[in-house]
Amino acid sequence: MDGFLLALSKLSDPGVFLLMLGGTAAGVLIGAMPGLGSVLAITLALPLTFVLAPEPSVALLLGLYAGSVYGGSLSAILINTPGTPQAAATVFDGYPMMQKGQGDLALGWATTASVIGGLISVLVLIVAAPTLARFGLRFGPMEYFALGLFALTCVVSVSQENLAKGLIACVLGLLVATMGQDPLTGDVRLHFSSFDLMAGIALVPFLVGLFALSEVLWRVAERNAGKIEIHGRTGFRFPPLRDILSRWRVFGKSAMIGTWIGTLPGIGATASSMVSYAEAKRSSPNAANFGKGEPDGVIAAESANNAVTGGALVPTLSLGIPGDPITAVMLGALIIQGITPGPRLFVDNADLMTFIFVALFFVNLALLVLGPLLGPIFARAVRAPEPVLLGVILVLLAIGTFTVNYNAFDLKVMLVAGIGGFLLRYGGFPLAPVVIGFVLGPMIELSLRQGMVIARGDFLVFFRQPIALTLFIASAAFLLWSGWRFWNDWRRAAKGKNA
Amino acid sequence: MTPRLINLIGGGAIIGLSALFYAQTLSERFASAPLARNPMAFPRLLTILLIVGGLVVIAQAVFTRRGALPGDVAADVNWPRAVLIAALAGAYFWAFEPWGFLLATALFLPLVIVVLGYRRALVIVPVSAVTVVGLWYLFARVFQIRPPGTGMDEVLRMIAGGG
Amino acid sequence: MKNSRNFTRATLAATLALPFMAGAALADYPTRPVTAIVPFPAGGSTDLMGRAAAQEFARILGTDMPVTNVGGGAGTVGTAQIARARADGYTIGVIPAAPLINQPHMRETPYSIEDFDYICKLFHSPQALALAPDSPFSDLAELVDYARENPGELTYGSPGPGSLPHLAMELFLEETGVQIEHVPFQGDGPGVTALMGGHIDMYMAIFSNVGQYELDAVAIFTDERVEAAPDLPTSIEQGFTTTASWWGGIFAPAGLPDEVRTTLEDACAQVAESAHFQETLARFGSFTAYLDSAGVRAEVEEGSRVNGEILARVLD
Repeated sequence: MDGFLLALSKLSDPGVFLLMLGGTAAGVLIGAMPGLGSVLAITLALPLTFVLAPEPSVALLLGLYAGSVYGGSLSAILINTPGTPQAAATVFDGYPMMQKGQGDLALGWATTASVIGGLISVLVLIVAAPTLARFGLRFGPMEYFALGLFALTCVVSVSQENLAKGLIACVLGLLVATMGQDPLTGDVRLHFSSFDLMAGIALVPFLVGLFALSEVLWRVAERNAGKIEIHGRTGFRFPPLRDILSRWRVFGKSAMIGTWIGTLPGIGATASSMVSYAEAKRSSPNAANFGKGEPDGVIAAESANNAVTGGALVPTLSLGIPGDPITAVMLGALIIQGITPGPRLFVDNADLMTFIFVALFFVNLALLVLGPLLGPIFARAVRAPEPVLLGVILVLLAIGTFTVNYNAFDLKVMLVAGIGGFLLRYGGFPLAPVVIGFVLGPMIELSLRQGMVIARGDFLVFFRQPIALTLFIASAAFLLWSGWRFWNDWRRAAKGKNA
Repeated sequence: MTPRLINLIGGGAIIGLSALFYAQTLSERFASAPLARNPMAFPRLLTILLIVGGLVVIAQAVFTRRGALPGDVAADVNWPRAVLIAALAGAYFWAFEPWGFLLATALFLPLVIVVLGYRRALVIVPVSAVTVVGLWYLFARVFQIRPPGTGMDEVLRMIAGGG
Repeated sequence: MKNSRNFTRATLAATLALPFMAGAALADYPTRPVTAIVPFPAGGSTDLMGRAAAQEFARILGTDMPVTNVGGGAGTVGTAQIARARADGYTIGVIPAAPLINQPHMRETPYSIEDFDYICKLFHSPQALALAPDSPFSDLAELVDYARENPGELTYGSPGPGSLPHLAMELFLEETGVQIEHVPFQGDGPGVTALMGGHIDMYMAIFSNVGQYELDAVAIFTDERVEAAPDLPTSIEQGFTTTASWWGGIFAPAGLPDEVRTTLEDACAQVAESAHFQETLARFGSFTAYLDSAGVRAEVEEGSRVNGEILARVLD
């Protein structure tokens, strides 16, 4: 309790408090710009942390982290473009809400969900960090493979009606991810004799092209796309408390999924929000409205991706192993401060740990204030004449993508991915499975083959691990359930009942 | 285009693309490697899955009444416009590094806004100027990532020096 | 109206003229910021070295030195960009050894070790072999004996194929003639997790990570024990000959003008001397390791030859 009060008094120091608030606001702005993400936000602050004391540094970094994850949802909802990869699932229902004229409410749901997801994950972090970290260690290659497969089947089952097209989209993402260097042997493959392709396709240009550039093209060229009148208020509206309470189940479950997946190194917030979305779609009483502007969809995506912030800190702090690239940069910042994350941190630096928890808690509360302030600014910008808006977006996409790796080849990747995304939309293929296949592809392939090396050809090993086996059964169930739906649709379409 | 035609072409395109990738996996070098250490095994499996998927989509076009499942909606695309904008974006991306951010953007942004059908110079000029200059300072000064090409500092010096 | 046209013309003139003016200002190098390219993403070990070095260089040269991270392709994309850059001293690279001495043996790269002017070697961190928490082995010899009797039964992890730890372990395996299966991971995070969960038997790590993750190391591959871990025995004192470290330095595109080159070499020597730089490195379990231009060139050539032979064997 003393530690808690001490942490509070440190946080109430005006300098620390302003850094936290400023960091969170800057994080929201960076996250909302397509192409710029959490890693950039935290890297920017690295030089500052060289000169700051530990507490202000931590407050600033946590603000940037949670703020940028939340910020991605603004552009996802307002312009159908995830500002960060983590917000890819927010698009599914956030943008349809915008189209229905409920953009203000969608921002409200996203904010509420982010805050609640973040707060729940902090509580879990406080109570169970060491336990969760130890459980995470039981995940070896077989378990990672099973989890990756499970995430993929979740996403495929989310893809609206056509299972075959969902599967194709997913495998396409997996295939693009295999281009370049083989993660196991280091040989290069599928490079069509181009050095640039030997290095593989980078995530940001691929994702930005697939979602954002294709969206720009679609808006320009699809005759029905522009005609949907956006008549909602530009602004921000919190959903009524009664509605929030009645959806407690989605909030809670999504936050737990996000926290748990966050604790596993290498999976990340993008996958967690997809899994959470799929689970919500499976179990929500409003399942039929998913994809058409259902608040549950926004909640599932947003509370899961913000819950990852707390989850990813679990292995970072308690084992010293970063859960994702973002916490890896944060780990570097902590070490600069002379803090050694690891099992001893909870003993040696108990005060600082408490401070981290308290700061993360307040950062999430700050979102509750900053969301209503910053959301409407973006919403108003989106009201600009469409040609001006689209032109500026194209420029943002180019500079945001180029500066990530300072590589002109990435712009070509973005162009090809954009045209590809446009054609996929035209052919009725969903885009989300492509992205998630691409994100999880290397992990799935590598863990499968690592498992094969470790098992020395004894494939049954994969089914002897209880965690892996459970996930395999769950994946099979998901796939069977989707297959059955697909078969029904097919029969109806063949008979022509559903024209 | 009808949904049936879209599915036929789409399925065919998927199969064609997969065949192209499949051909890339046919390297003699790894023929003797054990399965786990063969870099080509996993991509080859994926291309085969894709070909099967493409066949299912084609079957759907052939054997269902509309040539499509309920989810498949034919979109109404203005193709010349799509190609035009894609080409403009491509030209901008191509010029981005060699010409530099400032010049490429200063030319492209007003052009694309006009091509998209907005003609009010009183809006286009200030918006473009603010976007170009603002973004340059945001990246170069705040983010500490200098966009490619000539920078604002050099432009200013050039103007001051040139009289 | 007339003014605005002049403005446009000046802008255009400035933009077009600039590339040609770069050569004129060489006499008193550096007159403008020097870009340091780090061929790995922000936040990694190389990036931290690069940023620490850039700070010192900026102080010594009296100009800004912004760091640009060009990630991708196990460091080859950024390294290729450095090789292609204009050799005027305004683009330099902070490169770890792997993209130079390993990657060109694994595939075609658009550069070779001939395409660089070697300024200096600047930093290194020794490598250490860490064991899984419940490992029965207490020293290197026990481990090697067991592996000799049970070929192919043990597994070791590395942060990736063609990384320096991978090559170091293969060199050690070659020296001892035993067989241990390689299981690469994507970076130290997943690899160390797998080690701590007991999914692999051992992990070759950069020393900085051993301390950071509190790993159970069995040997450090150096000639002498390091101050930061005085109880950790070296490979040499345990009767083996392999030593290995993760290292890198400051490299520039080949063909620098002589005075620029001298300026950079002098600056680099000063950076290596800087107490602040050494302190920053020490926090990451790394050390300054200064070698002058000729010295580092020789080390790159030697490393490339040795690792080329190992890779030719391992990749088949």
